[in-house]
Formats: sequence, C-alpha cells, structure tokens
Amino acid sequence: MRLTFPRMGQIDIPVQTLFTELGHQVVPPPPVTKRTFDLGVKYAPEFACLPFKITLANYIEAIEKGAEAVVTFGGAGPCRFGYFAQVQKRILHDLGYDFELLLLDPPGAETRELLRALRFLLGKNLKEPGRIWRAIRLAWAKAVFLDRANRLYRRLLPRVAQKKAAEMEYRKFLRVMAAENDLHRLELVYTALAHNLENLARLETGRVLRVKIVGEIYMILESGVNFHTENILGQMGVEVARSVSMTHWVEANLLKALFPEHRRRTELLSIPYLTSFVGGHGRETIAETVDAGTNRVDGVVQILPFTCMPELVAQSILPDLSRRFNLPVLSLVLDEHSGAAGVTTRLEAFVDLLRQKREKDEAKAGV
Amino acid sequence: MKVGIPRALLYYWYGPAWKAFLSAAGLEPVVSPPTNKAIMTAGLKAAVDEICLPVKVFIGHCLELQKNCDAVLVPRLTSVARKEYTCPKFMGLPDMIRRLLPRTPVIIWESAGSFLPERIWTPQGSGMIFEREFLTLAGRDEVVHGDANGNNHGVIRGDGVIRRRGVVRWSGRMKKPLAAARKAHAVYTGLLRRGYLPEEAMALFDGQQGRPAGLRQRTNPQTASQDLPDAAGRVNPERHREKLDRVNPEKHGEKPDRVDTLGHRAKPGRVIGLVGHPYCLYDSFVNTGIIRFLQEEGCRLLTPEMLPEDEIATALKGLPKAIYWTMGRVALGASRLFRTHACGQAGVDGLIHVAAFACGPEALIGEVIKRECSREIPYLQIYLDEHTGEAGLHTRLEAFLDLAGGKERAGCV
Repeated sequence: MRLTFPRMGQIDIPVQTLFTELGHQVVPPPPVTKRTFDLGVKYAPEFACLPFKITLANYIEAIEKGAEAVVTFGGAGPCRFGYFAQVQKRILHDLGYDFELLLLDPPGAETRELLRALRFLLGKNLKEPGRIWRAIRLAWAKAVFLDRANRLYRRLLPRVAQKKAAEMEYRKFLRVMAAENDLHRLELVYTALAHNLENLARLETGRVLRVKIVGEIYMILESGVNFHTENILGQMGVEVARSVSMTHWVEANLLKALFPEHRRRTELLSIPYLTSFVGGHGRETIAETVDAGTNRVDGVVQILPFTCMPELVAQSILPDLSRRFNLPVLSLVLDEHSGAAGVTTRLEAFVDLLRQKREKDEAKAGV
Repeated sequence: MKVGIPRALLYYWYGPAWKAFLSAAGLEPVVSPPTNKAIMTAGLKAAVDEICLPVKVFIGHCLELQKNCDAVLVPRLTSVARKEYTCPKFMGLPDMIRRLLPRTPVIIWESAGSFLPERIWTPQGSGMIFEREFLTLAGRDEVVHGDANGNNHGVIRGDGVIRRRGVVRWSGRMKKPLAAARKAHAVYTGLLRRGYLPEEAMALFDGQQGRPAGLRQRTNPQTASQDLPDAAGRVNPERHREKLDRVNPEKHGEKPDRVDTLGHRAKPGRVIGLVGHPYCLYDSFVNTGIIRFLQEEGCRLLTPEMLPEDEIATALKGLPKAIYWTMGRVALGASRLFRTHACGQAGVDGLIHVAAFACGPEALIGEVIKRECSREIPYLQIYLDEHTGEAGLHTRLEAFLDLAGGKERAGCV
C-alpha cells in the first residue's frame, strides 16, 4: 500500500526515508502551491485553521498521485490537531476519496488504533528488529542534520553577499540529503554545505539584527504557508532564531519522558505570565518570548493561523512581555486570505522599526 | 467582601454552584448584569481582535465587575470531565484577565477532571496566594489541615490542598463551601434536565417570585416548587414523567393539548432543537435573543442541557474517536438525539447550530454535525460575532422556520 503523510517543512525527507527503509512505497504530497490552498479552502470548514486546510489538500493531492493510505499523528487535545484526522477522513470520504487512515495516537487515547497503525507500518519487519532500528536511526540522523543545516543557513544567510548562491547551496543540500541513504555519509553532506556556505563572500556589516520566530509549529516550519517568512527576513539581512524544529517537536512530544528538560524550561520561563498549559504551542510561545527578551534578541515575530486557540491566548499576553522587556513583537495571523505582498510589507516595516530602535538604543548607550 | 462572578462563558452551567460556594465561604457573590452594549464594547476594546466573541464578552463582564467588587472569580476549567477539555482559551482565561485588572485580585477556580475545584488561588504580582489567603479574604484566619481528633491528614502542599494517594483532599474549612457548591450544582442541573432554560432555572433556584423580563409564565407557581429536586438532588419522578408527556402529548391517545415550553399555544408541531455552547445559546444579547424569537414564533425548544448525560454518551457510541471537548461532545450527542428521539419526542423538525465566529472546536464539530444532518432534517448554522444584527439573523430564522414547517406540511414528520 502506498503511503502518504501531511507535509510540514522538511519533515517529508526523514519520514519518507523511514517508510522506505521499512519497506513501504511512499507518495509524498507535492509542495504547497496555489492549488493546495484552493483545494483546502474549498473542502475544509470555514473556521478550521490553516494547517487543517492545507493538510486536507495534501491528502487530496497525494491520493490523486496514487497514495492509498495516510499516516498521521493524533492527539488528546485540547488543540484541534488531535481531531484533524477524523474530520478530514469524513470530508474526504464524502468527496469520494477512498483511503486507509493510519493514526498514530498517543498511547492511552486510542490505543487500539495506535497498535493497528504500528502493526501495519512495522508488519513485515517485526521479525527483523534490526531493520526497524536502522530505519529509525537513519531517519532521525537525517532530521538532526536537516535541523542543523537549517540553523546554519538561517545564521549565514543575512551575512553573505550572494544570497542567491546561498539559497542554491541550501537547496542542493536538501536534494542530496533526501537521496542519501548511508548513515555515515550524512555528516559529509552536512559538512559540504557548511564548507560551501562559509566560503561565500561576506557582507561588511556591523551586528546583524536578530529576530526570534515563535508561534504555532506548523505555520513556522511549513514555509509554503508562511510565505517564506524566514527567507524574507534573511534576505533583508536579519538573522532568524527559533527553538521549534522537527527534532525539538519529537523530543518534546513523542519522547517527553526522555527529554523532560524541554518541558521544564517552558514551564520555568512562562509561569510568571501564563500559569497553565493551554494546548498546542501557546506556552512555548510565551516561554520563548521571555527567553528572547532576556537574551537581547531585537524582536519577536509570532506566526499563528487564524482561529488558533492556544496562540490566541499567548497573543493576549504578549503585549505585557513586550512592555516588560522593551521588545517589539509582531503577530502575523495568517489564513488563506493573506498575501505574500502583505506579509512582506509588514515584515519590512517591522525590520525598519527594529533598526531605528537599535540606533536609538545605541545612541543612548553612547551618551 | 464582594466577589464578582462574570455572567459569561460557563456561568450558564456552573453559576449557581459558584454563588453557593462563595456564600458558604462567607463572601458576598455579585453576578454581573446581563450582557449589554457597554459591557460588550469594553470587552471588544480590551481583547485581542481575533479571539472569539464569548471571550471578549467575558472580559467585558470582568471589567464591569471590577468597578464595584473587591475581587473577581475567574474559572480555569481545564476540564470538567475525565479525559476531556473545555477549550484552550478557558485554560488561559485567568492569565488573560489578570493583566487587565491591575487593582482587583483575581480568584482562580481551577478545575481538572470535574467542575469542582482542584485548588482555588489567586496570583498577586509575582507571588501567588493560596487557600490560606483565600480563607483570610473570606474573613477567617486559620486553616486546619486535620480532623476533629487532631490527626494530621497528610502533607500540606504549597497550593494549599492535601494530596494523598492522588486524591485531592481539602482542609476542613473548605469542605462546607465545596459541599454547598456540589449541592447547588445538582439542584440546578436537575432543573435544566427538567426542561427549564438557565434563566428560568436560576430564577427558580434563587426563589425569586418575579419572572425575568421577556420570559412568560410557563409553570404554575403552585406546582413549580414540586419541580425543585429534593436535598439529595433527586427530582420528583412523577413530575418528571408528566413533564416528558407534556413534550410528547400524543402518547395520551386523546387530542393533544399543544402547549409549548412557554405555556402559550403553539402552531401545531414545530419542535426546534438548538445545539451549541451554552454561552452562545443563552446569552440573549450576543445571539440577539434567538430563544425568545423562536418562542414567540411558537416553537417548542429543546436544548442540550435538557438531556441526561448517559443518553448523550449512548448516542455517541461507535464514534471512531471520542471527542475531547466537553461542549463539542455534548453538541454532537444532542444533535444525534434531537434527530432521532429526545425527551420522548420522535425527532425535531429542525436543528439550529449556534456557534461563535472563529470558535475552534465548533469549526470541526460543526462540520461533523452538518454532514450528519444534511439530507436528513432542516439544519441552520449560525455564527455569532460582534457584527451580528438582529434583523439579518431573524430574517434567516424566519426563512428557516418556513422550511421546517414546510417539511411537516408535506407529511414527512
């Protein structure tokens, strides 16, 4: 059975590797385009958040390309993500798309469903635990190198003179990474990228502005829906910092027993402002903004889909943090009506504001 | 000391319990006035633009209460049933409110797993004050964490509750207010199950003689007291049966005396099921008086609050995944019951789903309800926001009632 899965940033590379190594055929959904938006908007409920609409369209496009089963994560609330799959399945069923839903719910919620999905995914390999282990190790290594490369790219992009060349290098890296299946060569691929990026001519600039991106994970990682915010900022000569990433998500959610420090950090940083968990990444948004405020980041951009409940709670509290830390915060609420030009204009204005603020602060410090 | 209770969000489920709790703790509960233009405008100004209208209204009520109260009770109902949540916004509510009320302390009623509080506390500045201080607020000065014989019941944690083997135990002083809350809730829910709308049930509960404006006399004052459940929260089964029969008069064989829930003559037949979150259904300012409008049109109304919990659970059996939002689960279960049978009634003539614009859970659950209802019964989805106008909404309702009535004329029901 050919598998597909929802798209989120570069997650398709490790996930495709994982399933292929487990012996499945994979049909990854095509990148997000205008058509993806149109399909999602047409068939999804009006007030569902953008991630719901885009992942729904992902499935449609993948099924059109021959996918027969959808593998996705569930959840136990209160964020809507946990109930996406059921409603999407129903919508697609009514539209006449037939597919198998393999839902990876957290244990405890729908354990039977989880076991069924796992039995299907691992099925043939259960006699060969070594193969499963190798597949997971390779996919995880890829995810780690992808995140590292992304971090490097975000740091160097504002500093290099030939931004186009840097972008080409990064794209090439992604292609090679997707194709490479030798665990021991992954590091070489990464070093090659680092080497090439470091060798590009640098701009003669002073301290580069740093902006931290916080908010809802899907909207941050999937550049197709956030109008390439990170890239726009990078092109404007702004370094983008962020703590959410694929590996961070896996560590903080799937392996939270092994990595309790993520949760502890979030709680410690956010508790003076937000005293409870609010689902999704609401608490992380507050915690990371506090972190940005204390670590001399120049500004914070919060990205959230329209009607996102946890992020709205965070957005209500962010003005306090902004005042407390003298930290400009821009909330980008995105939905299918947002346009690239609108987002770019707002980011440009925000960066202008940050530049002026820094000049003023530096002048004040000089006096 | 006056403690304000905002008449918004889940006040329509738990208001009487909160009032009873505060009174038993020696505080004076003050409920904010019904939503009005000024309250809504204040809320709109203070809240984030994109948040849903009910939360904006809630903020408005809190701002209104701070004018004449010494503290405001803000619930953090993380969940009111096991393995379920209310809404992420409810979880962040106290933190959203306390930054808007710089001078008035916020008392947080924090629940998880049941509406009864796991702890009650109030954040002040960076520090937090807990049960001890809450009781001080109530005019008492000490907290006893032991029984009458002087035995210590366990370790006192920072949050003022004693936990032993995972069970939350309150110190002795808190037991009376909690019992009062539990009892008030049982009585009030009993009234709702019996078919009273929250406004009527609260009036009855408070023993008020005067009916709230806009609601007509619907029960005989002599028999109304029999409707009240007894001390244990049990309702009189005789009366209950009678009440159900009133909804389903055909059972008596004789020509039914069609009397709707309001007590005035209805055009025969139109039973309308209303589903949605309680604060959308019962805040008549926010929904421009949908309930009163339908009643005046002669419809008999069924709302989710009239259904017993176990019937809703039965109706939802076989769902591929349990819904983890309490209000969403109740709405879907109620919509299924209304379609087939409820309160002895063989299906409603039309179903109206009232939701707030940009409501997160309703976006998904509403879609499921819509898909289940389509091609079965007339179904209307109403989204409320601050721009909802009475004329526009009522026109839609009238058109819908024509549709629902037409179905009956065609002999489908």
